[in-house]
Amino acid sequence: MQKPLIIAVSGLHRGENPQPGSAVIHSIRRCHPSSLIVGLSYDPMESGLFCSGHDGVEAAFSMPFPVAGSKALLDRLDDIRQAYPLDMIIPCLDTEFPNYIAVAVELQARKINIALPDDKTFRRRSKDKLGQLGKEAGVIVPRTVVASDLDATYAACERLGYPLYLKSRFYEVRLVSKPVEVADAFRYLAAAYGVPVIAQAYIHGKEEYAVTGLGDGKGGLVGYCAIRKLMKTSAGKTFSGIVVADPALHKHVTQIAKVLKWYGPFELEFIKGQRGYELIEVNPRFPAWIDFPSQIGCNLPAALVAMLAAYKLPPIAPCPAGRMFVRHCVDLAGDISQLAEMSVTGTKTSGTTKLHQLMAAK
Amino acid sequence: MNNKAGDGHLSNLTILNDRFVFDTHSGLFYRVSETAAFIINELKWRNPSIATLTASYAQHYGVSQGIAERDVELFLNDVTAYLADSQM
Repeated sequence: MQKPLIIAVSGLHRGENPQPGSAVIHSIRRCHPSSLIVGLSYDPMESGLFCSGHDGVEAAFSMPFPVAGSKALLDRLDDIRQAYPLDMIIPCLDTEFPNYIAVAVELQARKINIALPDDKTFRRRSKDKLGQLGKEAGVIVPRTVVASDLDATYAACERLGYPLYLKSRFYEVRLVSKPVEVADAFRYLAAAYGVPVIAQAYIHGKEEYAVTGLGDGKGGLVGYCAIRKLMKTSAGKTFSGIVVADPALHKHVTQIAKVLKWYGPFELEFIKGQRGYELIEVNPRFPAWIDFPSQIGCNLPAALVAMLAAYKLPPIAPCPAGRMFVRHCVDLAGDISQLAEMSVTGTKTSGTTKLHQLMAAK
Repeated sequence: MNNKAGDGHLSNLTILNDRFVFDTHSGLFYRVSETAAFIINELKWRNPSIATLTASYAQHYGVSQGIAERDVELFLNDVTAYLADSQM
C-alpha cells in the first residue's frame, strides 16, 4: 500500500495570469487523493489559498522571494518541516529554480525529493542559450541577441530588425515594432526581472504550439502532451488549446529531451513559421494548463509524484488529437480572517487534522 | 499540379459532422461547404485522378462535366492559394 505523502507546491495563483500550482495540485489529487498538500506562497492574495476544493491546499506557508537567496529558502523550508515533514517539493515558478538547484544536496540530506535539472542543464535551456540547444537538438531557434544595457538593446534591435521581441530571462515579452518603443520595453523588463534582456527575432507565423512533458533524466520521456493554442489572454497566456499529433513536432520534443537528459517537468513553446517549428522557450516546470492532459489519461504531475516516491508509475496514455480545453474561471468565497491569518502569521493551518491522520499512517 | 490528386497530407484530416475538417498535425480546423466536403472526402478515401474526381462530382451533383471541372478546379486552386498564404 502506498504511504500518504506530504507534498509542497508553489505557484498558487489562478487569476488572469494563472500559475501552474493549483492545476498541479488537482492533477495530483486525481491519483493520490490521500496526499496532504502544503502551499508555498509568495502573496496572501494568491487564489489557491482561498480554495477548499480539489485544487486547494491543506496548509500554506509564506516564502521568502527568490531574490533573498538559497539560504533564506532552506531556512524557511526547515521551519515548515517542523510542522509538516515534507516528502517532496514541486516548484512551479521559474524564478525559484536557481535557489532550489543551489540547495539540491541539502534537500537530499533532508530526504525531500524534488525533480531538478543540474545547474549546467538548467542554463542550457535559458533563453540566451537557446540557439546552441537548437543546434544540438536539430530544431530551429529564432535569432537571439542578449543585451545587458539599453545601448546594447538598441544595437541588438538594429541587428535583428523590427519588429522583434524583447524578453526577460524569466517572464514576460514585449513586441517592439520601432526604435521609439525600445527604451520603455527595456526599462520595464529590467526593472521587473533584471538584466540581461533577450532580443529575439520575430517569426512570421500565426500558429503557436506548446508541449508539456516529464523527462526521466536519462534522455527519455515519461509522457507529453502537445497543443495548438486556440485562445490567449491579453497577457499572452494560453486560455484554450487543442491536442495535435504531428510527427515533426514529436521528433523535436523527443530530441530535446534526449539532448538535455531532462529530469522533471518541462514546457516547450514553438511558433510555426515558414521554416517549420521554431523553438522559442523551454520552461523548467509544468504549465498552467497541465490539468487538461490529466483529465484525458496523461496525468504528468501524478507520474512525477510516483517517480519521486519510487512508486509504480500510473499508466500514461498518448493524448488523442482533437481533445481540447477551454479555461473556465470561478469566484472563490473567502473571509477576511483567511487573509489576516496568512498576512500576519505567514501560515494557513487548516490541515492539522489530516496531518495527524497522515503521520499516524506513515 | 499532378494528375493524381490526393497526394500529400490528407491522412491527417479528420472530417466531423460531414462539414468540419480537423487537421490532426497542425491543429487547424475549418468549416467547409457541402461541395468542398465532398471533394475532400473523395480525395481522402479514394485518392482519385482529377478526371475521376470530376466525373464523381458531376454524377453526385447531377451537373455537366464542364461545371464539375470548373468547380473542382476552383476549389483546388483555393486550397493551393490558402496553403501558399499560410506558409507566409
